Amino acid sequence: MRTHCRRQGWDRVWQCVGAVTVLGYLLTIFTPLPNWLFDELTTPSMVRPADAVVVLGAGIGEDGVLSQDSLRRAVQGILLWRSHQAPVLVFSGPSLEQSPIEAEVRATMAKAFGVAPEAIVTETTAKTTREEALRIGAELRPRQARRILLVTDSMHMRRAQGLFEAAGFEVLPASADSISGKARSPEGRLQLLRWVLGETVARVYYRLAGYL
Amino acid sequence: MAGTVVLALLVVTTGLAILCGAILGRLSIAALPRALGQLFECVGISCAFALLNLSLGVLGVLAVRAVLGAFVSLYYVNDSALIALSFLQGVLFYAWRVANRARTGR
Repeated sequence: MRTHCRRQGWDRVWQCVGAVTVLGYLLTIFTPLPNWLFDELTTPSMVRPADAVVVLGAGIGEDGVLSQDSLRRAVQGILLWRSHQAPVLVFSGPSLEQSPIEAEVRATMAKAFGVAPEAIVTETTAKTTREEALRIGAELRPRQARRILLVTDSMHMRRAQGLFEAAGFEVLPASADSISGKARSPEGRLQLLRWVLGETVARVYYRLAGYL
Repeated sequence: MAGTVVLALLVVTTGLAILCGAILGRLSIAALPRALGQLFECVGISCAFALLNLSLGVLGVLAVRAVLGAFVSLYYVNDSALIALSFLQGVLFYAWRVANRARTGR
């Protein structure tokens, strides 16, 4: 009798968790909830002339293929430099699991798109946003760079901005996204929610660790 | 538009399946709420597996960083395949419970 009651209790728990999950899933794919969360958690771009454009890393494959995010950020950085928003263009990105160095692949691309080699700075060792802020900070301070145009995706921007401001910079956000915050398809909204959840976990971790 | 298409497909195929089940398979409509409860149970167990996998993954990555000093990216845990695999784990665990109930009658 007791086993039966205990089993029924657990059945009820799983059913409640499942019902909430299914409801949450339906709300995510069929309503603008993820778009609203995206708008709440992102910082709009504010492009103005600065001392340097800083393009954060976003991953590279073993075969040297830049990830979607990495490519978009690199293109945004190149466009900003070419529109004379800053004299220096910093690319960040290490080598991951035997891959070529992301920052160097992006620098090669930038040169091919007409960026002057002497304007390019690469940071090839930082593997986290925090390390990027510390190492790029150490690289830029001797160059008297104080105001930077920070290029990353809009969801990551608030965390990255906080770290670079803590490193002593005035940060102008210049977002480059591979997922639209206005996505209306079920798949797009699902990707958006996953992005929101992933970044929320990262922000909580950074706060708990005392980085922000 | 894509949402409407997906929703319409869902409604049509679910309706057809209920119709076929009731007419051809002689399934009772009265058993549908119970079936929905079992679906929720299965999803709930899968959700628990997903949380367990993600939590264990994050803790594992942080432990490797702290103990070995080696860098492992937290983004490795953020893999959509893990959600699908968690769902399979949930279905298996649910089926095991059902099979055990059928065998022992408890």
